[in-house]
Amino acid sequence: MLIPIAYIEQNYGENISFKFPKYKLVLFLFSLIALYGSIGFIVGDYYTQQGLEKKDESLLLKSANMRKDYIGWWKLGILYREEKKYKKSMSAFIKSLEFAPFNPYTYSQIGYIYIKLKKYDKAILFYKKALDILPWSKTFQKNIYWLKRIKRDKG
Amino acid sequence: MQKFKKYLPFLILLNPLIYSSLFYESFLSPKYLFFILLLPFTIISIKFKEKLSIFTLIFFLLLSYFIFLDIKHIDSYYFLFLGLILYYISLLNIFSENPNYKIIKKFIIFNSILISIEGLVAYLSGFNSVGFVGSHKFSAMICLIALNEILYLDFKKWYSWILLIFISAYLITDSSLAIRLGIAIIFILRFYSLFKDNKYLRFSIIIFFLLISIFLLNNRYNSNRNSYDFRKEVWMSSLRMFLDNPFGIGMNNFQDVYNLYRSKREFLYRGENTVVENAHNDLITTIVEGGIPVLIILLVFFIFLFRIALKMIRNNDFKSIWDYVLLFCFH
Repeated sequence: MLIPIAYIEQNYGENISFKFPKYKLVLFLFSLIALYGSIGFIVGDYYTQQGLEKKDESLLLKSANMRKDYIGWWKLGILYREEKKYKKSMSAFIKSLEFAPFNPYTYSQIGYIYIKLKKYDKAILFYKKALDILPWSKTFQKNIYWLKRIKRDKG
Repeated sequence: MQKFKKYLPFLILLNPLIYSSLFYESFLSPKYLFFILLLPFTIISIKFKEKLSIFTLIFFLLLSYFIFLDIKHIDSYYFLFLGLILYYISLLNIFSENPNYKIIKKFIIFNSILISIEGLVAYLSGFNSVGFVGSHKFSAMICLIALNEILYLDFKKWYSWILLIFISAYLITDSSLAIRLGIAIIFILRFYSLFKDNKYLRFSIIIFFLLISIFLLNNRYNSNRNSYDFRKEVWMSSLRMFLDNPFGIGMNNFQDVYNLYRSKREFLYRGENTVVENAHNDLITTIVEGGIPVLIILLVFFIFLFRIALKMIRNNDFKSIWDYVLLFCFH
């Protein structure tokens, strides 16, 4: 560890001037705006990691509000689904769709929740939406096939 | 400034803490902290050339256009904006003639040594490295800056050799083709400038490197064919995305919109429940997300850089031109 420090110490601090022209100030302001904007994402991402580790809903909710991207709501939706809080889970997934409307896996998650709620018509609808985006998915095709069979058997 | 100087060694000493994988990658990862520490430092040190300042203005005006392409992802835009600004600032540093840049270069070298040690330990122990900007390619890019500097060090000093060994080890163990290409160009230019008086030797060095590269690239292509095929599919889909959305799909929206353009072959190759986060090429991802305005920015940018590079070749200024190699080490 001493080697690099020794290297840095060489000629350290030579000819330092401290001028701050106006155009640099503009650049600095841009950077500050960027930093301000990214703080939400950075802190939100930290809460996501913590929330997933501790399986803490409040932390994940905080993170989803701060990150403002689909991942935060997705992770929250998965946690709610695992805890069998299906309605909350669905609203988290719908919120996630606002940020990523073409994510087929979000539609399939909503479809899965409708299966759990025994609303097979709506489940088929969401799996079909997922299949529209990814027509080659065998999982979605199989799910729709089985859901149709269950619906037919139940009458 | 005197006060600022006092704190610099402490900042440098803090670095091992930043690199410790005990911290969460997301929050205290070097990708944020390094730049946050470097930012005030860098801005102070920039000395604009006249042309560069005009170019900066154009760059920021056009950048603001594609930041507001889609207001929904405003935080993500800021995040990307930050990255682009910092990338740009680091480029300006490369061209800066300000002597303060020396300190930043040393700071970069110091960081690259830490990365190289971390990378080497990760390689030998089998544990994954946290990385520098979340990507081993970026860390290798920083190492390339250091390599360039180290080649100009006084090799009578023993620690220069240790630095060279560490950083070379990191770069060699990196899997990125772009990084290997970067190293090759650095060495070609190094030999080229060493024998600039001997025309025949200079010519034969280039032929030698070209011949070697044919074998190396061929071997690399055959051993990793699936990866190339996958990329080809993604790039073709990206082209379709660009043609359908000439003014861009919005920043950070690649992963989402790509689902609509995903080809059957690529999907079957990757399997179910997989997502493609980017085009596996930074240039293509940025152009698809930003559209024609971004394409124009990048074209102007590269033409500008190419012209400076040509001037440097004419002036036999090979030390500076090495820095250009870094620009092409995209992911």
